[in-house]
Amino acid sequence: MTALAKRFLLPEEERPVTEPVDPPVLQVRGVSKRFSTKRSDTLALSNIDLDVAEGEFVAVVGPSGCGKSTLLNVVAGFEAPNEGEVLTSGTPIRGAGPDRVVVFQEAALFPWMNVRANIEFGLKLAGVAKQERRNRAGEYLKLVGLEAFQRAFVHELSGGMKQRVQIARSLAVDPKILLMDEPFAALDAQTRDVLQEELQSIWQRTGKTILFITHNVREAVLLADRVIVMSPSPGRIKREISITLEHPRSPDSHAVVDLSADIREELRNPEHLAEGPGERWTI
Amino acid sequence: MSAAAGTLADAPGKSFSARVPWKAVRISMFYLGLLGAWQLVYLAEVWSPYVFPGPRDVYDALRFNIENGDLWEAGKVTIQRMVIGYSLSIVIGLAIGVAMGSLKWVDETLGSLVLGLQSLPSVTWFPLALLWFGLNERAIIFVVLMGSVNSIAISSRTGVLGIPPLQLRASRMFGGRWWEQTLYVVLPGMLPAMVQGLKLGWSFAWRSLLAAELLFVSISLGHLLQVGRDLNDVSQVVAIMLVIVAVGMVVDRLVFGRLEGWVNERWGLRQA
Repeated sequence: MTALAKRFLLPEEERPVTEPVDPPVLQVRGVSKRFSTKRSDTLALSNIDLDVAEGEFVAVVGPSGCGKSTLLNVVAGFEAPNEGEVLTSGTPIRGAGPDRVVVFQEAALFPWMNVRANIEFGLKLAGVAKQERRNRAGEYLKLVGLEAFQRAFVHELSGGMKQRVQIARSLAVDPKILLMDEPFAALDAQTRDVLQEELQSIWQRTGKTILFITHNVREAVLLADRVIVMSPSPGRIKREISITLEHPRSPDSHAVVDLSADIREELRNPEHLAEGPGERWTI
Repeated sequence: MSAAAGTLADAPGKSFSARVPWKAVRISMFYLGLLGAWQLVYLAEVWSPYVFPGPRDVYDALRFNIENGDLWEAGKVTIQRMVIGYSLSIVIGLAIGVAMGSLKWVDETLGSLVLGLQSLPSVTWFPLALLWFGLNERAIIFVVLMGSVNSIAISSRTGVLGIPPLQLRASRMFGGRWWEQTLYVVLPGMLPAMVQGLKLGWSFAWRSLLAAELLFVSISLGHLLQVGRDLNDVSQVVAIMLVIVAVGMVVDRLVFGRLEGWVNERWGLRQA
């Protein structure tokens, strides 16, 4: 393997072993999840281990049915695993909670509240006083560039604006980790480009820990420090790829395009990557 | 010159036709026409005036009831019963319906009972109410409750099931106590599917109440109707019927019309 390949693609056994002083923000330990019906028995997740460190941006990619959304639901606490456990900062999770807030793909805002009230909702449940709520909501409205729309109703917003509101609503409660479940999958290409760029800049400014689920490899490479490639039946982690390119990255840069091509190939053909995609790596 | 004048005159002409409240015009034309037809049939003396009163007779009967204060007193009693009965019905119906929508076993057990009891006309509860509570307000409010609680419960169930699951998840992940979740998310989230049910519940309650009041001996709108019959005063009967219809329409407009408008605006269901 070339040095470049080593730099960008570190197989599991070669990852440097470091003993962290603080427990990672998120630890997924031996998680398995089985869906059983009368007719079928599916192992959606098989023995998943994953650590996410403070401030890290981790993307999980894989074809549909590889269990990536199930993984997010387990981490969020919407579904309990059959085996294993999920810990945040060393403490096992018990159900859903404001330390792990999800940005959903769609339709998760409350239509009876205007934009501002949606952003303030989590703060209200957290018992934050009214004035403080207003200030913080204002701050996050500004962060996602929606100050002018604070009184708009949800149905008046475009798809991209709705996702911005979801991001603001989630960041407002200052979660330990932001979970994103294919947040840009339903958007048109232009809007997606803009939001990916904004998410990079939001991540750089806030230093938030993010776990990002997507089926779009380019998106994963564009955004993440580390890409987790999953494979289906049973859903398991196939490979982890560290991406050390400087942020902000451009979706059209050679590095991003080439690496995405390699990972896509890896998803299609398990042997390809082992031969050393670093040879195609020219930056 | 004429062309210029034409274009100038055109704009105000259009805005004039836009300014005319055509809907109100159509509605008033319809009712005026109805009133005219009524007067004509009355004048033609197809039926004797003792059976078929004219608009004037009904107007006089209405004025008489207003001037001697009976109508106000009766109306007050009826509206008060309605408010108490319907409010109780909403509280109980919501509790039952939300339980049915969220817990499968409640839906299977209590749910079947609620559906079954819906086939029972509400007045048939009246004899039972008299035996249980005696001839008093509690009996009549019980009838109103039984008349409307089913439809409120059924529509609450639909309302709970109609909330998009992602919205419930989104609310759950922000934590908070169960009553906060209920108050801020579940109840408002139910509304679009519930507006029609609330309206239906109100009209069932209104019908049950008036049916019960016909059988009840104390002043009320239903009782005034019964008095008209006892005195063979057909004008009074028609006058009170008109009042009953009017109250129904006013409540429909003021309460449910507004609620519907609010829901449509927030959810973007229809262009206002």
